[in-house]
Amino acid sequence: MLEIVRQQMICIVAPGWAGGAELPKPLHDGLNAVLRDVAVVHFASIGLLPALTGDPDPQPSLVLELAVEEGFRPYDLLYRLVYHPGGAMWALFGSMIAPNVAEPTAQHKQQLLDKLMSWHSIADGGFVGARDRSVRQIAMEKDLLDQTRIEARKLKPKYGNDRTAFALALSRWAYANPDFGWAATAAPRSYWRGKGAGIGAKLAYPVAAIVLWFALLGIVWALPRAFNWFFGEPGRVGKAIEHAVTKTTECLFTMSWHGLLAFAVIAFLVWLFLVPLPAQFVSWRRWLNSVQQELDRPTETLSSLATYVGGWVIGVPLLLAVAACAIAYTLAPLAYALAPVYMHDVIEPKLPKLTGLQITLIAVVAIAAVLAIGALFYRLNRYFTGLSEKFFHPLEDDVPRAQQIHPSVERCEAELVDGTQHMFSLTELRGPQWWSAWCIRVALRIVTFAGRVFFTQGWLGNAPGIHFGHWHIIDGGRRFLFCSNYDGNFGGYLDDFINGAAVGTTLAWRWTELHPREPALAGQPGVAKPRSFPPTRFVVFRGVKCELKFKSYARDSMLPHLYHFDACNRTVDQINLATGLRDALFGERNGKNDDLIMRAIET
Amino acid sequence: MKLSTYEPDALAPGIRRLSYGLFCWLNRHIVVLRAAGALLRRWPSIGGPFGMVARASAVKDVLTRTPSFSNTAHAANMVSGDYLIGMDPGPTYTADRALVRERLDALDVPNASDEEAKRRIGILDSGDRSFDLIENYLMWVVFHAMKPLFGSATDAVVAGSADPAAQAAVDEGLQRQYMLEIRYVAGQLLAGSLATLDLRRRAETCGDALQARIDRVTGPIGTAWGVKSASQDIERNAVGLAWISHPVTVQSGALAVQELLGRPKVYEKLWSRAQSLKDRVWTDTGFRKDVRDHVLELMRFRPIFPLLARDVPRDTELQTGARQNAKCPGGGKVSLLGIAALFDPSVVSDSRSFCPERDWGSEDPLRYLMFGYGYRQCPARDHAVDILTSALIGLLTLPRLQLARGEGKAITYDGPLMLSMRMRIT
Amino acid sequence: MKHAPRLSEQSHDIQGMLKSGFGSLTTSCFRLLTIRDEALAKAWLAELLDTGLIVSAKQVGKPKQEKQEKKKENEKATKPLDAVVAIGFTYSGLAKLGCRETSDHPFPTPFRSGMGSELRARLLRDDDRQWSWTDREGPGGGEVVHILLAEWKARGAVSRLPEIKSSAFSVIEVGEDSDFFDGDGKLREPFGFRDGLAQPVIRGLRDEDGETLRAARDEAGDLYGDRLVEPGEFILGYRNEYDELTFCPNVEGWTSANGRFTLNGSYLAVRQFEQDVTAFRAFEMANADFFAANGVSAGEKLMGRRKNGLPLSWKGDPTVPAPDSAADAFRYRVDDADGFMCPKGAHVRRSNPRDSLGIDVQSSIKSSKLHRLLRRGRPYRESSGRQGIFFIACNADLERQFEFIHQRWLQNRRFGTLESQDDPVVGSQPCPKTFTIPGLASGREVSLQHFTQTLGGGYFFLPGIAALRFIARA
Repeated sequence: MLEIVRQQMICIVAPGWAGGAELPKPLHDGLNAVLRDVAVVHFASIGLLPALTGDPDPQPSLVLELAVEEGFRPYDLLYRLVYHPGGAMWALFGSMIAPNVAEPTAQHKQQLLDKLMSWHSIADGGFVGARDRSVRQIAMEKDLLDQTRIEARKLKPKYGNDRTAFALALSRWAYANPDFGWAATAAPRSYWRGKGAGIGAKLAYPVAAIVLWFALLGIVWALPRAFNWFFGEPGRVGKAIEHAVTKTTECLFTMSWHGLLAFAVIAFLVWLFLVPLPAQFVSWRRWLNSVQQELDRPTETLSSLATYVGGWVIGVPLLLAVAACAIAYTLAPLAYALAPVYMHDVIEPKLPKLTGLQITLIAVVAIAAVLAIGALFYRLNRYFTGLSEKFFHPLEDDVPRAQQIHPSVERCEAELVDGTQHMFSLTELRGPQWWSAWCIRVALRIVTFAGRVFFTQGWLGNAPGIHFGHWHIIDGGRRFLFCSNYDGNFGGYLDDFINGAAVGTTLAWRWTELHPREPALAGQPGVAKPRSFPPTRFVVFRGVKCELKFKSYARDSMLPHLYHFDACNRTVDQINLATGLRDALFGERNGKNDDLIMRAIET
Repeated sequence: MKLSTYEPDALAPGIRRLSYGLFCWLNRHIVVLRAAGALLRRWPSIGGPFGMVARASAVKDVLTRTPSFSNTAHAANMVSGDYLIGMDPGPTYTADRALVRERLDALDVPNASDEEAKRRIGILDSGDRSFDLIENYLMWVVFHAMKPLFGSATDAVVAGSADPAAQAAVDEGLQRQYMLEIRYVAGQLLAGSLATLDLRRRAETCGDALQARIDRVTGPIGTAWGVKSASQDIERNAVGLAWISHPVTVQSGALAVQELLGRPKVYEKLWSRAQSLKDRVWTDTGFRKDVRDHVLELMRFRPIFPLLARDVPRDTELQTGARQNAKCPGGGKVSLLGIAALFDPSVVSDSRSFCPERDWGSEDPLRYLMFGYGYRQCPARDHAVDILTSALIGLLTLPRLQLARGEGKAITYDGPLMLSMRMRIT
Repeated sequence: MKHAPRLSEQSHDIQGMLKSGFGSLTTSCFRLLTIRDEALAKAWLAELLDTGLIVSAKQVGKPKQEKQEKKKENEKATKPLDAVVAIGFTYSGLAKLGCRETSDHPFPTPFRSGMGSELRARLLRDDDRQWSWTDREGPGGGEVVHILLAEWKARGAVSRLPEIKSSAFSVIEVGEDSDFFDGDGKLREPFGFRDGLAQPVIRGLRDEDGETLRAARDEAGDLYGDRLVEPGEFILGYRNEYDELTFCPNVEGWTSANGRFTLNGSYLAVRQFEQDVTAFRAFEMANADFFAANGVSAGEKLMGRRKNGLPLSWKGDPTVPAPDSAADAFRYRVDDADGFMCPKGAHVRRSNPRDSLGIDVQSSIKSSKLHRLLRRGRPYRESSGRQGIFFIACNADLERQFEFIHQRWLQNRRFGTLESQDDPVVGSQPCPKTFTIPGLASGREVSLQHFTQTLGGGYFFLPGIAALRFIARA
């Protein structure tokens, strides 16, 4: 399920670029023509990666980033591009396969395809905003939107005051227009954005897995009994088998429901402390907020230090204790099965004997105590905030060369100011690199999963406007490439990251650093001073929240593009609006659809 | 014109993979499908409510009632645009069918296929002792036999260019690439709507590429065909002819050889006869007829479309053979177990045994059920069987063949599609 | 590492303009100086500093306690100011006066490259610039200026500015002592709209205090927090909305132990707009039927506010005047998500979308605070009859604040789900262009001409007082 997302975003890193820092015009046009004709590529960009430090070959690598429609295997896509009669791929990469061959033979093309396959990597993680739709769908729905607006202007004098009649007239016009025959079916969406958009579909998978597991246990448990029922009392071996099967399944069964119960209790506690309690008790809510704020605070104030230390002294042991209890409770049946005597004689006497009422009372008292502690901490926190304002002056955090943007990067931004913006960011993995790569991959898979299943409305967390954002670990796990296509400008995009997707971004980038590097070619940005990613706390706090450090880190890691292709220059909002209009025009005539049409024609 | 074929997968993750896996497994393990078919044939009332038909009579009934059971069921899987096989009868259908007949008349089978088979066998015989049945043999025999379909425009189609220089540069590499492209387009017809998204997307890109390729050379094709139709008519027919003719025949041939090698006695007998005929192997009409019968019988055991679907445009009933007719609600589909019909003992005598010389009597058309039935039957069925006969004769002239086991799997699949079949000359 | 400065201890070094808009000084004049002779320029600067016209935030209004204590003993100092001057420098101006940025703490890219540069013209989407002045040579032409001198005076007060000699500077004067305040002391710009209502309030450097502050808070109710912005968004060296210290560039030779050269400074994004009042009136006349039908003029819809300053979503009687603080206490998301009252593309909604752009109210307010401007410009009128606004926006991060607002919101033709529409008042799109006024059952479109034209623009640095002295000495 994640691969389908990851395959949508491909990077081809071809070493040994001997061309200049600009693509010749014919190649530019050729690439445009091919990509337009193939009509499955949403975005394509070309950039130059500086040579790896210590690499004997100082030539830069060419990176071709492709963001394509869903469902393509890279081979099939590259096959189509390489064998396209336009020949642009050969014009771009040919010199790296067989220099000075203008017209490649079939063998040349196959060589190129094989090379591209060896150079390519699908995204290690990525997010797709509104681009689960095909290029053609977006283009056609845009056309529908434009035409509808034109028609609406014509019909406005006649129907302007009657929403129902106006919407009906537009709907009839659309139905009767043979150009829009394709729109009569509901807009195709992928499962999680269409049928599976509800929470039920998301819950169905874990529930089904649990039910299947218990059903399996039941069947295995029942098998020897069914055998006995059919064929009578078994022999010694048969009995031994029956005994073993019964013991094992019963133990697994008990462990399973113990585990489920433990999970449910933990989930309940998490929910309790994060949802109803903050909603009910203001002091609790403020305390939670201030804990998060203090963990994200840039400078070592007394309260942020206290929160951090408190996290280690109280938070971490508490969480570990809860986890240990859950594990012990889950594994208890196994211990009883393996060493029943020991459990009965040694362990059980040590456990307190409590009635249900006592347990309930303890739980209530514990929650009350936690609340009281929360309130106390909140007061303390407020008190210490005042105190730290007085006594603990925040330290000035020196961020050298902040707010600097390389002119080549700014030029790229200016070039796309009317369209979808694009960025390349190149960083190095922190040592030990295998460990960083592993952590990054785990984090990115989580981000990808969340993007695929939960963030299906074009927003990644609270960050809007991302068409594609993808991360690649390249150069054998040494470097980390982030590419993105987004609405807005780069500064605003980083703000969206900080405010909207801080956890995911921190997770993805915290294992990287910037090493000094020479520019790929003259006129391109290099890195003068090494730096690590802004410091994080408890893995996810701080990090990108250090605005200056993070922005300067991101800015300095950026590379300009030599070429950018955008199949349909539409913002995420426009794409969503056009699809909404299509479904409303061709859907049931009701108030909601009518109003959606009215709003869509208003711009 | 570009088509809007792409739709994201609306099925819950996992379900498609599961159902498609099952479908492919059944296709490869045709015996299981046959057993299921036998079951439904014995008790047609089981399949009836699900729109499943297994008895020969019922299958023929569905295939001949074209207004009630429409071929449009194929349309969804035709990624490079509409063509005969997915069309309802009408003026376009009639005109296209006439054009196809005309093109088929231009074929020179079995002479052309014999010639290429001889040439390829010569190469295989002198090469190392193993080869790929599809890549090194069948693909080429079928390609050369079918060259007259595009006639003088063949090179233009392969080059994808009306430029004479590009056409002159056509070599086997380009031809191979062209054949791979059309294979995946046809593969989608085989894989059907169950195909996973990546397969469908591959078929779509190949279909798109094929369309673009034909679009550039409608001029030469029109000249070769000697027609003055609108370029979109030429394009539709050329695209359709390209993808449906070649890959389906090649797959059928591979399936037939697979079945033959699974029947050592039959193979041994045929091979001995071929060896004894020596030089006359290509000219002996009796032998050729026997081989042809064998080809058909082999195809009966491994038909390329063991399952077929038809759309039901309006409410109707279907005689499944059960006491009560099955209701077919309009808008639904019926599934035909062609494989079951081919083994229906009520019409095929001694249906379970391999018997090429069986007298089909009045049921002879049923023998060609893998090509469809009745009016909608594939117009190229005899050409295809002839080509495969040539191909098989060629293979019989080689020393004994067997599947090249040991170095990985001899047969590799891509879904239900057979990608390669490694053979060894012993 | 050393401690960050405290705002409360630094107000003596911050130019008064960051604290107050000098509403009581109704006459204003803006001068753009190009340095001809560096030495003379410095001497003049020193002279200016000695006049005491450049006031600090501390002088603008004193903290309450201090005021009471010193009231008697120091009557002269609390005498209301009758003239104030603020001074800012372009990057080239600073360079000309001998300030060279250090390599570790250079000025931010936008300031260094200058609003007039070709790259900035493209980034700011100024399609067709024809400027009379700018901060750097570029496609718009215009004289390259080095210093911005803003002067506010009470009505009738005499200018105490030291004479600006033509040997030292060439001068472009904008405004010629314009006064756009009406009898109630309310500022109205040439189109007739109340101006300067939606201002952020700097936490820890409020203009209001005591009763006025309490009244402002009460009138705004729960929404007072929406306008409260951290000082680091406008003044360099303090905590900003990210709880981070704003970057302070430095110059060579600066040795203060207090902080870097730019501490207590701010960047000014300045644009001179000429307003075509005739065209605007003609537009309102042409859409008189709109006013008749809706009680709001089409011009008010463009601007997004009533002429008397009340929001279009005002629930009370719009003819009854309301306190300024109450008039600025509104949001869009809940009451006016579709723009039935304030159109989605209206000027005020674009320049401050408040809570309308994010995923929910809280996050939207939080993120819109990252893009606020402290506006200190004034309308101007020249003897030739030309009038307009001399727009000055103070901000600490040009890229995140002025440029973002300009590029992504005002000039963005695809703002929200709009199609090919930029800001109806200051947009640079070719005219005639359309503007959508959403409404029920369906909205209507009006055709617009250019109502404003940009005559010049530049980025200036507004230094702290100590830094000013340093420049004069450097």
